[in-house]
Amino acid sequence: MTEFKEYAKKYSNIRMEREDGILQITFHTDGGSLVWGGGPHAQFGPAFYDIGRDKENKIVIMTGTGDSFIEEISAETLSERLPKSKITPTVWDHIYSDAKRLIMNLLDIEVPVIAAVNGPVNIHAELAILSDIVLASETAAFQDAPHFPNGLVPGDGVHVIWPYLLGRNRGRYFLLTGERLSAQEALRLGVVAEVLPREKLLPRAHELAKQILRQPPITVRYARVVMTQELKTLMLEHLSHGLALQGVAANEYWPG
Amino acid sequence: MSKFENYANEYSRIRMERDDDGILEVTLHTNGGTMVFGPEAHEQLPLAFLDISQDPDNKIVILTGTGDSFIEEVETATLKGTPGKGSRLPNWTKMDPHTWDRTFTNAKTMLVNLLNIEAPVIAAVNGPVNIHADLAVLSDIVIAAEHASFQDAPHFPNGLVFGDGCHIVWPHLLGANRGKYFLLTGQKLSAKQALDLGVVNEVLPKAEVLPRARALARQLLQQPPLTVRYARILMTQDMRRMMTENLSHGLALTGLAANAYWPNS
Repeated sequence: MTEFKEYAKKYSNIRMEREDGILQITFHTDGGSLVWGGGPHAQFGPAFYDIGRDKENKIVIMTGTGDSFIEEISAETLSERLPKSKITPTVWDHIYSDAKRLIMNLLDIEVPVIAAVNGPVNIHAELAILSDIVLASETAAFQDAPHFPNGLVPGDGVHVIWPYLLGRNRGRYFLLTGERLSAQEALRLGVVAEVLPREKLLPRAHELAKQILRQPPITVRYARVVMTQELKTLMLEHLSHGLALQGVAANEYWPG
Repeated sequence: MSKFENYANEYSRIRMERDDDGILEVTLHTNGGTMVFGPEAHEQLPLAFLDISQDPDNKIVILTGTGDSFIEEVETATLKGTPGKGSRLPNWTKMDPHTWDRTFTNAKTMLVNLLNIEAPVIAAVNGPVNIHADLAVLSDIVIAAEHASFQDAPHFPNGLVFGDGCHIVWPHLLGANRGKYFLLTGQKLSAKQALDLGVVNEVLPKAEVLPRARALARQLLQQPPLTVRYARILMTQDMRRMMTENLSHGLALTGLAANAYWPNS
């Protein structure tokens, strides 16, 4: 089995700290808010995999840095791997593989995951809302900006999770219109469990983590396994298909 | 990403050889002879499949056994719990949840990691297999020696629930009712019967099994790399979904029943 020291410092966009089995993973770019790009896209899947294989991780808290969770894309980094209008199948194959691992390896972590959404997230918001418990700062907001509003098919798992969480029609509206949900709206719609002042967010996440860990270890782990079962099935059924169509459409049009 | 040299010699029960075309031969064995199934094999197989799946230089996989049978024996000494000697289940009559949890983890990852290999898998079944025959018959192409046979011996005929994936694979391959009969009665299918029932694709004299698997591998690799890989992904989709839906459930019930009864041999 994997040991913490082997992977704790392996990923430049994820800071990992563990105490009493509570693993806090903090997304960042050079210590500031995470700027999405080819780097995180390739790193997160393997990182979730390492976390999942280490039985010393008893619970995971996922959070971001600074005022937003993920709100920016590095066009530069993306263009390194995705030269404009050159989304060939071979190029897409990297995205396809990374994107599948990103979701599946996250769901394969067999301990509860608590998201502490420190601010707005409009890119890969599904990473946060796939968690078993979602806490959000009052300043947080949720949106799917990089896909449909940007000319791309929402096929990387957002097509599964948003209709699942919001209800079919609300979810499709959200994806097609680029709707932005405030923390309060997300709370009302059941996407978020608690909305808190920013400074109380992480303390509350740790408090919940400790509360959950009072139950026997196998109970905690199997509870997670049971709670992710349905989503894993849905992702298996729809992720590869969604990414395939996203790739076909991106081959014709890639935003400039 | 894994590199071949990092894992090729990592597993004492699994020999791996790869040629320049990316054809990986995976040979199951115990000390160079026929594999005797036991805790080491159970622990190593999921990890080996994972390494194989993470190495994009593996273009196709041939899975075979050693000697006259594929897998026909269980390490009874280990199962009975001879004290020490790395025995993971020291006293089977005390099948507590913690003991089961290790089995649960290995069993859950073994078939799933195998199915996650994104390169076609060809089984060269060199002889009878009555333990984990699912490993062989889950392959995209199954070639069997004339003297091969298929059975699920360690579960129901032995007092245990067949919830480790056998309950998914066999009814799927044989048809629901044939599959249930197979599992409940311990039916032994000859290579010829398995061929007639569509579990096996070709039955050949033993000496021709591996050469034929290699010839098929080369034939498949004439197609473009992404085509080969994506074909595998599509062909395993159905089975991966069924595993996700039914494997954890099956293992949980297997564990509960094993907690009440564990066979002595």
